[in-house]
Amino acid sequence: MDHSTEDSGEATRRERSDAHSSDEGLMGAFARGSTETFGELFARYKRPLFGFFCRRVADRAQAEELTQETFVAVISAAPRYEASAKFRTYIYAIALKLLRAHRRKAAFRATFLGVARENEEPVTDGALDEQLAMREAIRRLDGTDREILLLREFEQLSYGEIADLLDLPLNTVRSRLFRARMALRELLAAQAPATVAQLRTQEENL
Amino acid sequence: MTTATIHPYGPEEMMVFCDGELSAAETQAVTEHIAECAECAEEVRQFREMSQTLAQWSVPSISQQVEESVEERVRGVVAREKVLGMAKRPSRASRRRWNPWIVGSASAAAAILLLVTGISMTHHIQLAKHVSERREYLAAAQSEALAGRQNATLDAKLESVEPSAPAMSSMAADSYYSATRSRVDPALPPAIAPTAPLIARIVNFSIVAKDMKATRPALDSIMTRYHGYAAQMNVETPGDGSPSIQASLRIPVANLPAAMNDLRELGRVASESESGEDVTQQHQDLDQHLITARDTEERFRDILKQRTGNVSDVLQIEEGIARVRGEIESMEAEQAALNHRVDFAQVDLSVSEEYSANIGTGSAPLSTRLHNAFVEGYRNATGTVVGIFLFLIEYGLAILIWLAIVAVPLILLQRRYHKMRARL
Repeated sequence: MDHSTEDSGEATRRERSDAHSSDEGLMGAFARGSTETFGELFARYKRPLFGFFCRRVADRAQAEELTQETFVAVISAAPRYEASAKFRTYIYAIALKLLRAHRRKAAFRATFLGVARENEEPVTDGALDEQLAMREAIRRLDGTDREILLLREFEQLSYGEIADLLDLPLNTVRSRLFRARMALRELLAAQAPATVAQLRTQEENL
Repeated sequence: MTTATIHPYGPEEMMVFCDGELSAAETQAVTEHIAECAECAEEVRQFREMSQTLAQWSVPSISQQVEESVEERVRGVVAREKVLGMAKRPSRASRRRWNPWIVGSASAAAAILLLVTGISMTHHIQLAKHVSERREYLAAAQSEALAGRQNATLDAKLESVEPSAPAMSSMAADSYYSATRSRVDPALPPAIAPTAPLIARIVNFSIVAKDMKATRPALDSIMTRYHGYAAQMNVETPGDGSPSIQASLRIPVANLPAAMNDLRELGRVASESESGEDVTQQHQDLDQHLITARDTEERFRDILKQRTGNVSDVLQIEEGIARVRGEIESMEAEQAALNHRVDFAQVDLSVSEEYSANIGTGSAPLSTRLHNAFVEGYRNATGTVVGIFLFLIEYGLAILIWLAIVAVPLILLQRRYHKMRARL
């Protein structure tokens, strides 16, 4: 944990007591009024959530803003939190809701005001051609299929969790995930010769 | 692969196996199968490879600065929440979020509704304007008539002051009209000075009588008593309805008030209206024309007396005299009619019998009434259908045009919206 260095006694004590607690336990404690436990939850989820938004929205600033909004929403909804659902599913559900709202707003803005240039450009900082090709292939998948694939591959959610989040039957999640992977395989295979050619020209230049 | 191997699991199961979502028994079975089957092992390898490729999509770490600000803001929110108290926060679930498309289509529908209402409203307003214009016109006519009546009363007063004054020689009338006369022709002799205002009076009466049989003789007796007569009379006695009388009476103006009083006693007065038409100008014009025509006749006669010419000239003059004479006579007749209209008031009378229901005689048998009801029902139904049809013909095209005007941009916007969403 990197922030253990910046805070001294208080943080280490908290970590010792919280580190082995489950997310649900921490959230339950926070809901009952223990504000310290939220620090641990924040530390656990800031990276995955930021990653979640980074892979789904165009620019970094928006991803950061959405991450922040998600945590604020979690805090606001804390009194109504019931430990019936897994906290992971719960926080991703909030994130998905905010993401949808963001997309809706962005689409609405784009409909009436036109597309802002910077919104069209994906986050490409330091990405290799191969990675760009993969992202392009993912982008071309059907919306729900893509979402299922991303939730499985990057958020490491189980089929059941994805089914809960997207309100789909388990079998549908399974079959759509299969479909998405097959489509992605095909798309990547179609792109492969081009990538190979690009790599060759790069080698020749070297 | 030389022989067709039977695979107990398909590629989808291989994927589920890679994701670790198979049951323990199935996982065991698949693991054993993969060890033997190169094809399925390749499948599993491909799935794993893809996951590894995807895992390369690294995400830039959240910047320290932002992380701190987020943390700070989160802490700030936590502190604020603490101050406000967790339980006291208003429920956010109660806030409703409106789907913009629902709002959009609802407002479009409202706009169309408003439009249709607007069209029909303007139609009604135009109708109402017509009606009010007519009303104004009628009111103006009535006030004119009222003015006429006042003139008539003035006339009556003048007559009462100078009972012998039959208009022309009356001093008051003379002075009253001197201005007009001087404007018309100052050279005219005073003998043909215009008369006091001549009013042709028209009275409308509508009476509901109790007993129609007694009304007719009563009406006749009023006529004889006041030296009036009926210019026209219509007596109707239909089989099932109540009998009625439509009459146009002429009563000497002098006797009119008394006659009207008697007429009122025939029954209940449903409506009564009086109007007067000022015919003075008409009368004056006729007088002037008569004087001119008589002058012309006189001159023709003088010429005939003093001069002797050939036969054709004499004949021509004779012809002239005959023509002028004819004109004079027709004008005199017109004047007489005008005088008659002034002397005799026109009383348009309508007498109907008071409705009294009588059992047994009026109502038709049940079968007839049923038949009538069916016919009426059919008529109403067809009327409604025709009405709807007419409405569609009348406004359908306009509504369609407006729908197109409203819907086309909406559809285009929605398409654009979906395109934008797909792109995000």
